[in-house]
Parts: sequence; C-alpha cells; structure tokens
Amino acid sequence: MSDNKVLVFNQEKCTGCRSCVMGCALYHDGECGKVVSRVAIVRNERFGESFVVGCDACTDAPCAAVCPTGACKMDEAAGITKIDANKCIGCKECAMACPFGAINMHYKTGKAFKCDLCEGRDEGPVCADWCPSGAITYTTPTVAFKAKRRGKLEERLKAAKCGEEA
Amino acid sequence: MYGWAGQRLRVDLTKGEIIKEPLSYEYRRKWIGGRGFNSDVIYNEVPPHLDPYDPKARVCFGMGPISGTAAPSTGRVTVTCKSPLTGGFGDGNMGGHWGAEVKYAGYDQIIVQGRAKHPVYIWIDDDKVEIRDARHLWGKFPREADQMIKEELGDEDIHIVMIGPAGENMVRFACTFNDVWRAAGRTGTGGVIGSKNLKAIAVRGSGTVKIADPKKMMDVCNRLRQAFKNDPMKMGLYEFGSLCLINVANRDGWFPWQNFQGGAHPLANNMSGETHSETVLKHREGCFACPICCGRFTQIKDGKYAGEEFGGPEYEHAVPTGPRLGIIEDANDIWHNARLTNDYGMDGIECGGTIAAAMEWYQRGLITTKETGGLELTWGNAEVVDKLIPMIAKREGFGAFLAEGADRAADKLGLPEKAHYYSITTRGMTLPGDDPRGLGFGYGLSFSQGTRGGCDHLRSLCCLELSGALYTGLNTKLLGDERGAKPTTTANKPYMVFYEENQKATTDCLQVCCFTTHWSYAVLTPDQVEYLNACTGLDFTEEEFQEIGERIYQLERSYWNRCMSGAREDTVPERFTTEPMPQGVDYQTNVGVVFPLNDMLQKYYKYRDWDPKTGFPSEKRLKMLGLDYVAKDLAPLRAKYMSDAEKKKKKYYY
Amino acid sequence: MAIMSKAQAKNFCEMDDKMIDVLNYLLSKGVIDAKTHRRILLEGYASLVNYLQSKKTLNAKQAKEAVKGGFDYLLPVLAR
Repeated sequence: MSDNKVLVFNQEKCTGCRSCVMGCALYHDGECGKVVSRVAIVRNERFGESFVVGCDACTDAPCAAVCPTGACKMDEAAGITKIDANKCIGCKECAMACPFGAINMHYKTGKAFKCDLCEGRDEGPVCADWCPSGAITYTTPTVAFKAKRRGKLEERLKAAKCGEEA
Repeated sequence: MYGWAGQRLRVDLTKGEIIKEPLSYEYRRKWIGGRGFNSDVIYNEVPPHLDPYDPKARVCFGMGPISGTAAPSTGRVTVTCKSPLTGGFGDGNMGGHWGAEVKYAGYDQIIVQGRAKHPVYIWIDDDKVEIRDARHLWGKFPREADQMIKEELGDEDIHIVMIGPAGENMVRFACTFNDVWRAAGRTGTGGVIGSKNLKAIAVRGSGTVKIADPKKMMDVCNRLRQAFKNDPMKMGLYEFGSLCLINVANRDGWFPWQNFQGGAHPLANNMSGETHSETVLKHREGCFACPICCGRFTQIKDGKYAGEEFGGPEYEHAVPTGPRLGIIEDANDIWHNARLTNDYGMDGIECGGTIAAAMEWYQRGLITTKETGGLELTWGNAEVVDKLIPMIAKREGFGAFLAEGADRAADKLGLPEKAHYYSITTRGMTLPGDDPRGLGFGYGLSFSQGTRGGCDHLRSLCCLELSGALYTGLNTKLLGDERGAKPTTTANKPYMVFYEENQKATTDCLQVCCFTTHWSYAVLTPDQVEYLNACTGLDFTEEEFQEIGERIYQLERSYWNRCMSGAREDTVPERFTTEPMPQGVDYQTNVGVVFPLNDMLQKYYKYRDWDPKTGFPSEKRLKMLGLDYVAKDLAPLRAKYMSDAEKKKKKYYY
Repeated sequence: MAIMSKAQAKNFCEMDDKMIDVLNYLLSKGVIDAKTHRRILLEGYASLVNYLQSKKTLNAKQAKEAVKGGFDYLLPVLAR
C-alpha cells in the first residue's frame, strides 16, 4: 500500500471559514467563488456545525471505476485520481459515485473537476496550508492515525485526572 | 469587471419594485464600496430630521470589491441607516458568510426603502429577486425563521439576513443578523428593517468574483495567511475567542463592573475565554475566508439553563448583560443572557447598558419598584435580568421604557436631570465594555466624536494602544514613537485616532474584518493596497486609500452636523472624566485614573480641520476631499448651530 | 544647513503629540509642499522618513535609524 501524503480531514476542528475554498478557487481557476473550488464546506449555522468535503484519496476509487471514457484515472505516483478534461464527456457518473460529493461539474466547461492535491505547488495543497484550525492536513495516513491515537489518549487521560480531582 | 459586481440592488417595499442600478467607475473609485457606498446613500437620501422609522428612510447593506475573495476575512457587511437610537448617522458591521454570497449573486450593495403592507422577506437567487410573504415568520427567533426559510426554499446552503422579535417591535437598539448569529449589533438597524415589515433577506449566489491579476493576488493572500500562522493575536483569538480579553481587561481596569462604577473584579476569570473553552465551548467558528476564526458556539452544560446553546458570545456581547449588571458569580447566567439578546435580536451592549443605567437609578433611589412594576433592580439579580430582557424585546411593562434606550427612558419616566449622568451615553448611545480609564485614552477620544453616535469602539479601534505593543516598531513606523503603545497615556493619541479612524473606514469599504488590521496587525495598509490592486486591476496608492477613509469619516461627521450635533456634544460620559478609577483587584494597573479628554480633543480637531467652536469640518478640508456639496449643505448651518436656540436645547439624542 | 534649531527640535521632542506640528513646521520652512504635507499626514511617520531620504536630507543609514528610533532620533538630526 502506498503511504503517499494525502488530505486527511479532522472534522471536529472545521470552523466553516471556507479559507480552503478560496485558496483552491484562486489557485486553480484564478477567480474566487465556491463553484470553482474542489473542496467544499457544509454548515448548519443554527447548531454550530461545519464539515469539510474533499477528496479522500480512496485506494479503490468509485469515481475511476464508473468512468466510461477513462478520463478519471488513478495517478499511482500522486496516490489520488485525476480527471483528464480532454477525455471527460460530462456524464456526471463520477460525481454521483463519490460517497462524499467531492466531485463537481465546472460551470465553464460542463466537465467534471476534482482535487489534484495542488500538483505543482511547492508548499503542497493550498487548502491544508491555509486551514487555520488543522481541520485539513496534508500528511500520510500513517502519521495521521498515530496523531489520532495519541490525541484520543490525551483526552482520556485529561478526563480521568478531572475525575480524580472531583 | 474585476472585484466589484458593478451594480446595486434597490428594493422598494411600498411599490414592490426591484431596481438594479449600475455603479460607475467614478463612483467606485471615490467610495470603494461597503460602508463608503452606504454612507453616501444615507447622506444623500435620508434627510437629517426624518423619523428613522419613516417608510422613506433607507437601510443599506454594503459589500466591497474584496468581499468574497481569498484575502483574509472577506465576509463582513455594513448595515447603515439613520439610527432610531440616536437620531443621527448609524451603522452596524457583521461577519458571517452572507456578504460573500451576495457578491456571488452579483450585487455590491442592497438598498431597502419603503414599507411593505404586511411582513415579507426578500429572496435573491442570482439575478432573480422576489418579495415573499413572511407573515408565518413574524415573531420567530432568527434560528427558527432560518430553518423555516431554508425548508421553504429547499436549500440549506443559502445565507440569510434576519431580524428577531425586537426588530419587529422596533426596539431602538434591535440588531440585524446573518447566518443566524453574526450580528450587526449597534445603532438599532434591526428596528429600521422591522419598521419596513421586512423579516429577512435570503441569498443564493452561483457566480464568482473576478480577479484582475490572479498570480499577484495569490502571492499577497498567501503571504498574509502565512503571517497569521504565528501571529500572537490570532493565537489568542482562535483559542479563546474575543473573551481572551477578559483577564487583560480585568488587570488593566477596563472590565465593566456595575455600570462602570468599577473596572475590575476578583471573579472576572469565571467568564474568561480560558474558562469558557473548558466549560461551555461547543465549536470554534470562522467568518468567510478568515485565518483567525475567533467565533464561538456555546452550549451550557449544567444548572437550570443546561442544554441552551447559541452562536457567540463575543467579549462585547457577554460583559454588558453580565458584570456590567453585577452578574459574575455564575457564568451560566451570563451565557444565558447572551443567548436571550441573540434570540430576541437586540444589541447586547445597548440592552445591557440600558438595564445597567436603570439599576444605578434604582441603587440611587431615582426609581423604585413603583416604576419597575415590582422588579427589584438590584446589582447581580440574574433572575430579574432573565425576566427583563424579553420584556424589553416585547415592549412590556418596564421593558417598554427601556426599549427606548436609557436617555429616552429617563425622560419618559420623568426622572430628574442627573439620571442622564448614569445613562453613560454620548449622543444617546452607550459605550461597549471598554472603560476609557483603562482602555484607553485613544478609545475614549474616539468615543467623544465617533460618527455612529459616539461611544463606540469600532470607529477607530485604535489597538495601537494595546495589541500594538506586540508588534515591534509598529507604533514608531506609523506615529513616530512607541510612547502611545499603552492605553493610559495621552501621548500620540490624537494622531493615532486620526490614522486608525481613516484606516478603519477604508477597511470597512473593502469589507474585510478589522481584526486583521486592528487587534492583529498582520495586515497593514500597504498590504491592503496590494490586494485591492491585484483584485481590481487598478492603481490605488496608500495615500488614496487613507484619503478615502477620511472622506467617509468627514461625510458621516457632516451628517451629524446637519442633525445639529457638533462640538458641544463631543463629550464622554462624565463618570470617566471625573471619577477616579477605584480598586477592584490588587493587581489592577489603573487605580486612580481619570480620563483626560480635553487634553487631546482640541489637538484631534486640528488633524480633522474642524472648527473649534462648532466642530464642523472646514470648507477647505471638505473641498479637498471632493465634498463640495457637503460644504454647501453645512454653510447655512454653522451659524444656526451657534444660535442661542440650539445652545439651549438639552440634546441627549436627536 | 539645519532645518530647525536645536531648541526647536527639543521643543518638538517634548510635545505629547507632534505629527501635525512637525509637518506644519516643515511646510512653513518650505521643506515640504502642501501636497506632501497632506500625503504624509495620511500615510504616517515612515512616509516622512522616506520623503526626507528621497530629498537626500537623510542618507540611507540615517533613514534606517529614523524608522527605528522615531522622532527622538530624527528631530536632532534635522537640527544639525
């Protein structure tokens, strides 16, 4: 299994600010709007809930599996599927197949577009770079899971200490 | 067109008409956007002696060329009107994501005028604009109406401006929200919206903001966002919200205790950001494109209010219906009161300030339970405050007096003259939780002549005197030395306030959050000029940027002058200039301080070129700013202001 | 030729708030014109230093020191 760096989302940290959306839009399309971003934020403002929707770099990607033309294909070196716009016929099957809704159709071309981990950007994906809260991280799954286990353990230790003091 | 959408939307609720007005290059160059556009409309279209609730009055929502872009914190919106609280110029400024959505729908500004025959809401779906029935929404809390509108329109991703029941009842300090909780709090914009029978403005925008030089824009936005990563203010605000200020306020004696009778309290930490984050913080929130994310979402976990939750509170939202009323022992009372002012839709600052005034009248025997209808307005009486906040929103009983603001309440109750001493207002508006004997002499100078009523921290937000000290050499670079980098000195304050007011005004035209340029100074004026030019493709200079700020400030000041307000009203509540700060805690740094306004005010007038007798801007300065028509308007009024008739009028509000 | 006397510089240094006073003085002495006065007032102290450097009233080293040291450094230099 490849241990490429990919985007790992820590949903409980998402503030819903959409800094990621702006960075992605400006970097890829040179204009600022949600409709040209490859990452999206979903909010329930009433309840203070926010979630980030981005490409989870599935190893067995449904988006590539359903593509009729081979436009959407796994790029083994990058560890993420990429869409060749020249081959894309805009059938929307990949967008419907993605379990998270991370693929959209571009308003200018009618073709599918998705995250490419900001190929060519020295500092890595702009969404992770700009995220103020650590909700989006650019890391390997191994590193991410280790951090998660440590984080959960620290939470439990803290709660136990409070219990003792009470 | 780059940056701007290039048009404004005017909705006439009397005629049911929707008009789209293009915005010329000259107009956009002169006023930039946001607050600039709004102030220009109010100056031109709302006569100075019109009743703010008259159907002919306007309420404006301003977005800027930078709104909805990748620059830091580009979601803010200015809501401007003739204020029902002061009768003069008023506005509020709110965060959230609605402003960006309006840009994506294709508008730089929305003007609402007239009055609908019954409650309505406006639905903007890109270029399609409808006026829809809102009778079923009237009376609802913003959180409920938000859900109902989203269900009705079949889209949970839209953004909605909303008023609460207090706005519908035209409480004089009702506020306006977007995204349920983000408030344009001050000066009573909610009541003007309610007076037009308007409940909400829902928006969906599928467009984008076009950028003239995407590479340059990316470079500057990226550079600034990298700077925020290690910024000291960002770190405090992200971790603890604006409540990170509580312990600082307490140490430096600007923590508002019992209507500013004191500036510090031993239990202040009960409501600090640190305590909040460990007890009731449910979620950290960010406004549009913000690298700071100081927003909070609070959920009360225990006690009689367990389960209550709401967006916020900010420092300025929590202290007025908390320690300002003597409530500090149980923080859950403070969070609950903030929840109430949110749900009912009232400015927490003015609501708390008005109750605080009433509590001091009660303390000093100017009112008794006879006037209050049995309510015992004793300091710290959280039970009474819990009853009173909804009464104010509904204009019931004693609440009906307080809904008018402290100065009008004093007059309607027939209280003696000295009641106004305890109302702690300038031009009818109270101040936020920043006692100028602590924060600070610059803030206080700004309070005395601020153009949205006076007692207002957001006209200058001259944090060069507080957080400025965290940025090595910043005070020197802008003002000439570091002496002003502490709150309780007069050094450099006249120039500081002049500079910061101009800077803030233009920041409000771009509609970016001033927490990136005041509080945090990670973004400075040259950075703003850089992203403004990269976005719009134009060639603004730093000089022009600051000059536009001055233009707007002088325009707003002139509107007040037309309302017959000037030098005589450039004061701060007497408590601050006469009562030495008492000791509240043993580490308090400002014990004994009084606020020396007069040492600074006349010097400040020189920076603004205001006539020392009238406080009106000089004709020369107005013409220099391209405000010849304003000079013409003021010419016959200068003598009138100095007339015996005007001097005799006791003016607490206009 | 000094722009101001030592006494004048000392006077300014002791003032609580002095930006407009210094600029008015420089205008009266023809060191800056009205347009520059206006621009510097809007832009801030660093703008004054940059202007004086561009007119060779300050050399590069002095300009650098002036941005760091503020009026307390600048005014005595102008009085030399």
